[in-house]
Amino acid sequence: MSTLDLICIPKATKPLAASACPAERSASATAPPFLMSGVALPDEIFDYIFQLGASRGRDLRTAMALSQVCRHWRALALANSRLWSHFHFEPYKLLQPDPDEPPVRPPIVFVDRLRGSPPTASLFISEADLPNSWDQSGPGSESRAAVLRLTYCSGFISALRPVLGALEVKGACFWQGVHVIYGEVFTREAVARLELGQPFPSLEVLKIHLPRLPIIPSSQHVLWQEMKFRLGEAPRLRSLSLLGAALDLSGQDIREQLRYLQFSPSVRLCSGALLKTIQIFPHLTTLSISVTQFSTTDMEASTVPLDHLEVLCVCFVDALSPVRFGRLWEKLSLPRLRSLAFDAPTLCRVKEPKSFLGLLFRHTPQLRIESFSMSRIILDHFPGLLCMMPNLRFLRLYPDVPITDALVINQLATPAGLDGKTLHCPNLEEIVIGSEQVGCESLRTLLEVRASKGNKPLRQLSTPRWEELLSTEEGDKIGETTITSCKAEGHWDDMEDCEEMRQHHISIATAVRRHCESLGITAQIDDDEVDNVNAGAELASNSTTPWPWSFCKSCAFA
Amino acid sequence: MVNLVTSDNESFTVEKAVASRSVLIKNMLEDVGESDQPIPLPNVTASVLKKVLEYCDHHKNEPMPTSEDLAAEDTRKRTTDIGEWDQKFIQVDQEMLFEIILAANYLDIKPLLDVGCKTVANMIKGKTPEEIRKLFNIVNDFTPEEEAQIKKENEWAEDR
Repeated sequence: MSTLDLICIPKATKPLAASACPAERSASATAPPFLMSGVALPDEIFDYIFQLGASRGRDLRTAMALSQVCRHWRALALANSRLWSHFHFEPYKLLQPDPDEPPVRPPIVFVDRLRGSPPTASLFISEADLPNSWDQSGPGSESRAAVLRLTYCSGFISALRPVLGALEVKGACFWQGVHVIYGEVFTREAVARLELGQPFPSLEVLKIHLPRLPIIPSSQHVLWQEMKFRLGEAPRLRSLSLLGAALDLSGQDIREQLRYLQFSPSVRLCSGALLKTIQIFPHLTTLSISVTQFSTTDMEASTVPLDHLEVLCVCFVDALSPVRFGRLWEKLSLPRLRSLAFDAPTLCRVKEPKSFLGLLFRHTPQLRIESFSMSRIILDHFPGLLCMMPNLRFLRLYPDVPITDALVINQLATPAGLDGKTLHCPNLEEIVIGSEQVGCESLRTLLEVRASKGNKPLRQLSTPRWEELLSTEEGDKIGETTITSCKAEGHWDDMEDCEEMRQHHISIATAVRRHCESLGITAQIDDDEVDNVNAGAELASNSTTPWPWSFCKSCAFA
Repeated sequence: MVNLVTSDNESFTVEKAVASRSVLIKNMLEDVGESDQPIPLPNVTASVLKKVLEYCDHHKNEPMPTSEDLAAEDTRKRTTDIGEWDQKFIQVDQEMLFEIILAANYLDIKPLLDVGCKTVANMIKGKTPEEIRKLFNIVNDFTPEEEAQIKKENEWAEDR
């Protein structure tokens, strides 16, 4: 019996107009046009509106609502496979299942509506999913209901397994009280029920983001454990993103096929080993990693060619990790790199900035980097950075990167070439200056100089002072440059990977604070060291020695 | 300048840069070359064309969206965001809203079509079928049996 056979569906006794296939739809073309406020809109426009309304398949509820308005809308909605392409589950939001009834399965019509295109599924587990106790006795017990809901969601997803194109599993942080234990049990259970060890013939994208789950055997010690899963055969897998989870890929070779990789390597993984890990995926086009100060600089690996890599996002977990990354950077051969992003979990003042820039400088000017983003990083010797990237078209320095007027003028609005005419990064088209410290006068100078001396007119400038800057203008432009808020749509898109990783690291710091609360003490976390928690936890997990909580004075002396 | 004639026989003389926001008109102008001949727009009334031209005039200096832009737009997650000016522009009654969408589709002005369709999509989002019916004055033509069947089909996804 195939998995799909497991879905029990009440057959429709009378076919609805709504179940119309495209052929039926075209047959209805002779019907009088459907009027909206007296205006006859063509079906193609309805299709487009429906797609937008249902967030291009990511909002199943709106898709369902559209299919229940009237017969005409139902016919259009059901014939539009893109509306039904994503199944999103948050178990706690589901109706309370009746434990005496067999588990309700999604009707097969939902799979039929895909019309052969591979669907995507996501399962988000939050604290609201967890019962207050793990006692499953009694028909009405809360934990039993929680498990039923989980069974229901995982059953649906696992039923889609043969056709699934993408799967995303996200676990929230379970840091308080009994949730610490239940959170882990529940999340393990959830992922186990997805049967990842089975073959996924159509799976192209797999994303598992779980917080590293703390197990607290005593009030003094925290052990972190990364969840490990075995992945069944996935011959089409090309994108893999793992945070707080490890995947056993033994028995299958995905080296050649993987194009996108995001992972948070073990903090104790030496750089040499990290390079070797990266090296086994020669066709990567996007790589997103986190680096810590514990990444040793002892590297035997020679140059690692990543000939296809176009996008590199690096999350600096602590203040010393940039220098560690610098040493790693020297070993990478990145002929196609176009986009580079640096991020940090919390505001990170780079230690040894000169060494960091020195290491970057040996390699960077030879590259053709067109896009550079930085977030939550304080770099005292920032100026040298832009000189290394003369081909930049997009420069994004997000709100938490402190930039001054002098830096903007000196680096972006002052000719620097031997002829005294050439600007740094003369091809810049788009700049985000997120710091409020940069005043309007400097921004106006920047616009004037770039307009007269840049190779291309600046297309867009994003700043928190956009309203002030535009106060004397009509419209949203100064000259040829559109002025926008620095949080306008799209600016964060390229930082998304970094953001995910940042959240992952922050969740661990949050756990420490909560742990201190549970001990009845106030956490005194040194912000510079906050992310060492990650490292400390990892060390503790492999040691019988009590972890000293060195990042938190309260814990250390408790 | 370009002369446009609407279905109700009204004439509009506009800058070429404004008229060329419409791919249909732009292609016509390229095909016929320099000419004083008016361009008939049999599917657009004067009141609608006036609004459409207001949009085109405001956006006349912006680069035309390329096929790459359109592909990127297609993969964007937040698909229903609308610019501030466009939001104010599209605050019209429902009949005019649908007329603008229809005209943008006919004249092939993708950014305007997007503004119109996104506006309708935003009106629909998060609403129940009954609320949508009420909003657009749509008659529920399902039989009670059909409604019951659809409800059963969807009950697996009901919120608590």
